[in-house]
Parts: sequence; C-alpha cells; structure tokens
Amino acid sequence: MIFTTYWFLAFAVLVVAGYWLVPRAAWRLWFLGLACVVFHAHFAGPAGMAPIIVLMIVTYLAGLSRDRRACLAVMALCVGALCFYKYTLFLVNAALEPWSPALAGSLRSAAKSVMPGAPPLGVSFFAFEFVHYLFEVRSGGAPIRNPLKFVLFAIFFPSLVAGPIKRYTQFLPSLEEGCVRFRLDNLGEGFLRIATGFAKKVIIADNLTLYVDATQPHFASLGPFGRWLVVLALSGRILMDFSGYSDIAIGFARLLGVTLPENFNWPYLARNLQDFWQRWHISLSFWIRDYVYIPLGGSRHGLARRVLNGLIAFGLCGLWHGPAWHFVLWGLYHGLGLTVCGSYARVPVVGPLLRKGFVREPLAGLALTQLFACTGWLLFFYPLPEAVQMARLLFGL
Amino acid sequence: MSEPLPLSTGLDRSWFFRPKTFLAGLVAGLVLCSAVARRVSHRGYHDSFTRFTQVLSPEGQYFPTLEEMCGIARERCRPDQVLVIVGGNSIFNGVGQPADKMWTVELQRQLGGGFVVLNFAFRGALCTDGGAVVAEALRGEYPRQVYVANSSPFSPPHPYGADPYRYLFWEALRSGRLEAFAPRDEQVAWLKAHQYTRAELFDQWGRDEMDRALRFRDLWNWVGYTRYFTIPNPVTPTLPQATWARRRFADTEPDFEATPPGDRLRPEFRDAEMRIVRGFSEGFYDRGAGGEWRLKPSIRAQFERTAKSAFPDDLKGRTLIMLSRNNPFYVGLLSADERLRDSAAFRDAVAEWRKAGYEACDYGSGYDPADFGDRTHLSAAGGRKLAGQVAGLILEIAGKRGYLQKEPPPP
Repeated sequence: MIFTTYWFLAFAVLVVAGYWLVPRAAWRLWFLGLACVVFHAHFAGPAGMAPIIVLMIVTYLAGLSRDRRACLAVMALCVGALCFYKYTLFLVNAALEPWSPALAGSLRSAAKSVMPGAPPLGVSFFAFEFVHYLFEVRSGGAPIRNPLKFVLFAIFFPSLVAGPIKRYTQFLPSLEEGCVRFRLDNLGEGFLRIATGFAKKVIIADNLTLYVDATQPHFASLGPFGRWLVVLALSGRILMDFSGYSDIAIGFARLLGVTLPENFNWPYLARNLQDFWQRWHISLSFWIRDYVYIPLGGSRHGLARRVLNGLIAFGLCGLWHGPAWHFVLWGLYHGLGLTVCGSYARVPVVGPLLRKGFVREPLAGLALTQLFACTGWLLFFYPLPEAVQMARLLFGL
Repeated sequence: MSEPLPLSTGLDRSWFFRPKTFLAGLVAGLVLCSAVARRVSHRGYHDSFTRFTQVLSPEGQYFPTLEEMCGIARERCRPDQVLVIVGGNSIFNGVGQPADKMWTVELQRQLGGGFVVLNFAFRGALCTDGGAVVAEALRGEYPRQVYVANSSPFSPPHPYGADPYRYLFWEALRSGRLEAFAPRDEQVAWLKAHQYTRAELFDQWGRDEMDRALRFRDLWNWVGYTRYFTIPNPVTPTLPQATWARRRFADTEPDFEATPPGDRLRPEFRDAEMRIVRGFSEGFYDRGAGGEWRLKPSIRAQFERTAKSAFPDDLKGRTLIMLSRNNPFYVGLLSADERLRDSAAFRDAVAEWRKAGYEACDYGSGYDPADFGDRTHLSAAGGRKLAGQVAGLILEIAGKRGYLQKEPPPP
C-alpha cells in the first residue's frame, strides 16, 4: 500500500508544506503539478508512466478538438489500453485456451514480451477518468484548455492509486477555489480523514485479513457461528480496506484544499440493493451507471433490455476489480440482485405485499440486503467452487 | 452532463468536531504518547520476564524494541552487578525447558548475586541478533558485561544479524547506539547495496527516524504487553486470546523431561536430522594430502571476514561463543570418518573464534542422549550441564577483565 510507505509520508509532508508556502495560487498549481509528476514517476517508473503520458496527451488533444469522432476514438483507445494491460492474459486464457491451447500459448508469450511485468500504476483509474472526460466533452461539456489543469486532473496524486474516480466538472472548481487560500479547517478535516483512513486500514482491515487468512482454511470444521464470523470479517475487511484508502485520499486532497467526492456512505446500513449501490464505491457505481448502463439504454427499452443492460454493467463492474471469473460472477450476482430488487414489486399479489412489508419493517430490508451483500463477498474473494462450497456450509445445505 | 458525485456523506459532525481543536489535540496527543512511551520503555515494564517466549517475539507479531529490552536490563541489573546477556537461538532460549528449569535460571544460581543473567535469545536467531545488539547498546551503562551466545561451526556471524530480528540492528544503528566500527560498516554497506532496494532503505530509514522522534513502537509494545493486543497471530489461536495483554500469557514451555528419553526422538525424522548433522561439517571440509580432513580455505576466509566484523574489537573479549554439538545419538549414527570430520569442525571453529579475539568453547561432547530433547535442544538435565560449563567460563572472563574486583556500592 503506497499510502503506508514512509516515502509517501515524507513526500506528502514536503508537498503539503511546500504547496502552502508558495506565495501565489497559480504557482501553487505548478508546484502541485510537479509533485504529482514526481509521485507518478517514483511509484510507476518509466515503463508505467509512458503509456499514461501517451493516453493523457491524446485525451487532452481530443478533448480540445471537441470532435465527436476523435473523442470516441480516444475513448476506445483508453478502454483498449486498459484491456491490453490488465485483461490480455485473462481474455486469452478465457476465450482462446479452450479452443486452441497452442495459439493461446503463443499469444501469451507475445503479450508478455511487450507488456510490462505489472499493469501501469492506476491504469483503471486513468482509463475511467479519461473516458468520463471525453464522454462529457462529446456530450457538449467544456474541455479543459489549460494543460497544467488537465495534468492535475489526470495525475492528482492523492486519488491516483485508489480513487475516488473524479469528475472533472467537480474537481477543477474545487482545485481552483481551494488553492487560493490556506484554511485551518481544511487541515483539521484532512488530518481527521487521514487518521480515520489509516485506522480503518491498519487497525481494522489488516487485522481482519489476518483473522480471515488464519480461519478460512478451516471453514468446513468451524461451527455455524464461526463460519458467519468469517463472512462478517470478510465483509468488514473489504469495507474498511476500500473506504480506508478512500478516506486517506480524500484527507490528503483536503490538505491541499481540494474536496474529492465521497466513495462510501455507510453501505451496510442500506435498506435495499439499489440503496447499497448508492452507498458502496459510489464513484465507481456512478461511473458504471453514467457511462455503461445509461448509454446501453438503461431502463428505457423494456424489462428484458433493462435486465440485460444491468447484467452487462455489473459484469463489467466485477471485471474492473480484477481479471478473474469470480469477479465477473460477483458482478453478475449483484446485477441479478438489482434486477430482482427493481422488479419484485411487479409480481402479482406477493410483490406488493412484500413491498409493503419492507416499507413497514425497514430492518427486514436492511437484514436481507446485508445478507445478500455479505454472502456475495465469498464470490468476490474466492474461486467459484470454493465460494459455492463455503455458501453451502454457511446455509447448512 | 452527468449527475455530480456526492461531496459529503451528509453526516453532521459539527456538534463534536472542531478542526482547530482536533489539530491541537492531534499535536498534544502525539507529544503525550511519545512522552509516555519514552518513560515506560526506559523504566521497563516486563514484571515477570523469563525469556522471549513465542508471544513475546516476532512469531507472535510482537517485536520487542531495543529500548524495551534495555529497560528489562535496567529493571533487573544494578550498576554494581555484572550483566550477563544470553543471545543466540532456540537452544539458548531454552526450548523444551520449563521456565523454572531453564538453563539460564541454573546459570544465575551458579553465578550468584554479583551477576544478573538475562535470557535474550530468540528462536532461529544468529549469535549477532537480539541480545548482541542490546548488550552493545548497554556497553556504556553496564561496562561490566558478558555476552554469551551459541552458534554452529562456521555459520557466518553476520554483523547485521538476520531477519526477522534484524530490525533491532537497524534500530540500534540508526539511533547511534552501536559503536563506530569500520569492518562492520563495510559489511553493512555491502548489505545495503545488495539486499535492499533504495525504496526499502528509505522506508526503513523513515520508519526508524520517525520512531526515534515519536517512539510509537515502544508505546504500542507497552499497550500490547500491559493492556491489550490488537493483532491476530498464529500463536494465539482464538480471537479473544489475540486481544489479551501479552503479560497474561505465562511462560508455558513444555518439558522435554516429561517424555522418556527413548521416546523423544522421532524415527520418521531420522533421515532429515542426519542430513542436518552431516551439514555441520560436510560442505566445509575437503581431504588434505595425507587424507585427513582439512578446512576449505574459502570457508576459513569467509568466516574470518564475518567474525572480524561481527563485534567491535573492544567487545570481542567479553563475548563468549558456545558451539552447539548435536545429540550424541545422531552423532553416533555417523560413520567413523564423518565423526572425525564433525570433531574437526568443532575443534577448528573454536580455534577460529578464538583467533578472531573471542572467547569460545563447544559443549555437548560428553553429554548423554537424555541431556537432549531432540537433535539439538537440551533437556533440563542438559541445561544444567551447560549452565555449569558456561558459569565457569563466565567467571573466567569476569576475572580476566577485572569485573570481580570489589567496588563500593552505588549510593
């Protein structure tokens, strides 16, 4: 975790201090831009920076041109780059291996010879933010003309590694306003979020990870209470891990006067699955909604299309978390869940009754939602056969 | 345009959160925590310390700090007493010996009240790990000290120790608690250049420097030892136990002597154990012109280099290295020729340590299989024999170095 390295700590202290010691707001932005480049270069290295720089330049130029076809082409390039760096081996294994192992093998070797050892740092975030930017410009939004501001939007260091996935229409005004004057309130808020984030990550999530890692191999020999405890630990761990990162990112941004969007809003208090996705990894779920689900047609073309669009969107949402089938299945599981959640009320007789029941007893909805979400983490963390076996043991089947 | 993302969770914190108050509290909290850590670790808080058991060592996610270990010494040893720090690995830690039958308890009994024996050996540690670092850091406060550790023949005594205990070496080095010693500095420079990336070194440096200022490791060890622990780990299998203060765990080392000597050695491990026994000498020797076993020059050279840099010159004379022989049962299974090589290894290793300026001796040659619990660890009976031998050597060192001269007690 980059945020827990002492290099990052030293870097952040120097940058925050230097940023506010620079006497003019415009110079501060230059200083911040330089710091972001240093950060990116340190953690990504030249091999990781090069593709991002190329994508950044073409995205900037396409946005500046406001040409719809250019924007579309560069969006495709960004998605292509993401697929190439993150999903090539997965796609080769999934799509080719069963049909032609020899071809798959040679493609794997070819891909490995041109790809870096690991995907460029934050490539998913870059791709998503660039697609968002070009989509908005293509829909009539104003492009970012100032190259420095574009660089800052692209490689703003607090959100570079783990989000939140920013919207440039929110980020730039916040940056421009925030850099003008130092405010002690921002410093306090920032430190509080950073402390909260570190506590979530280091004290809670890392310990839950140790607990889960030590207990999960003996899942079958645990009693019902022990098994549910493991699932609860998994659920707590992922929330604390993800939201801890987000808190730290939001906190560091706040030290620089920038307000980043919230990423988590008490998701385990959601009363239904739609509510859950309004609270869980908000910047990702909103991105999926705005740039995948709605462009696919959303809920505008009947139930069948709506279900299909939901499944595609959530399948991709799952795949975003990593190149493995269990992530896709986790996404589809939630896609199906949302379909049921959005349509059960239409079932004659039972539907309205259930709906009334959930309105009258919101706790029942909360319990059902969390049961669904927590059980789903088995799919997120473990390969399908293992997850199914664990679920069977969990429910005594 | 798409809908903007929420910039706040809607939670109203204003009734309890004031940024300026929070910042002031943050600074005051850090200062207070740092002050508490300094005070408690300097004074010592291990009221029932016997040795570093699994729950008090990195195996149990507990990393004793340098100052904490020095605190134990300060708590136990008056300046007018001779400080005997025991380092080394699980053999000297006393694995297989209950706390009351531990060999260092016997050593303390034999040495008497003028000496204070502290068992700072860790499982799997080198003779330059843990206790060695603490002894060197305390050389000013306790100039009358003896450091005793065990080793195996020609195991290179790297001056920077080995993981997972090397953190103590870095801590002592970066806080200026070790003597300036050029041969060791050269080895450390080699280590930095070959085994760590720049980013790793920067991170280590950052961690140690921050810890020097804030003393967070001391604070958390104190909390973990006296109040509650926060990290689940393999040595406390249940969740409630993982949160227990580490002082609640008694030293419950099993007793080898609870098992009859004939049942202690597991036949299924015999081949593996024999490979280890042969390994004590196998790679180090070749045949001389007359067919005799001869130490390879490359091994000798490597050993000389590391032994020279392992401890500063002025501390070599107070350092007693005990070379641990294997259970005679296994040694007896060696061929006559292999036994000759094994004996040569111990003889030569002792000579090499002595040549490098250390006090050295081997132990275990006249021991009975019942003195061992397994291939290498001693039973309480073996521990008593070891204690007797080590006590004599310590008294000899203390005599040579003038530690036994009467001095007026401190006010």
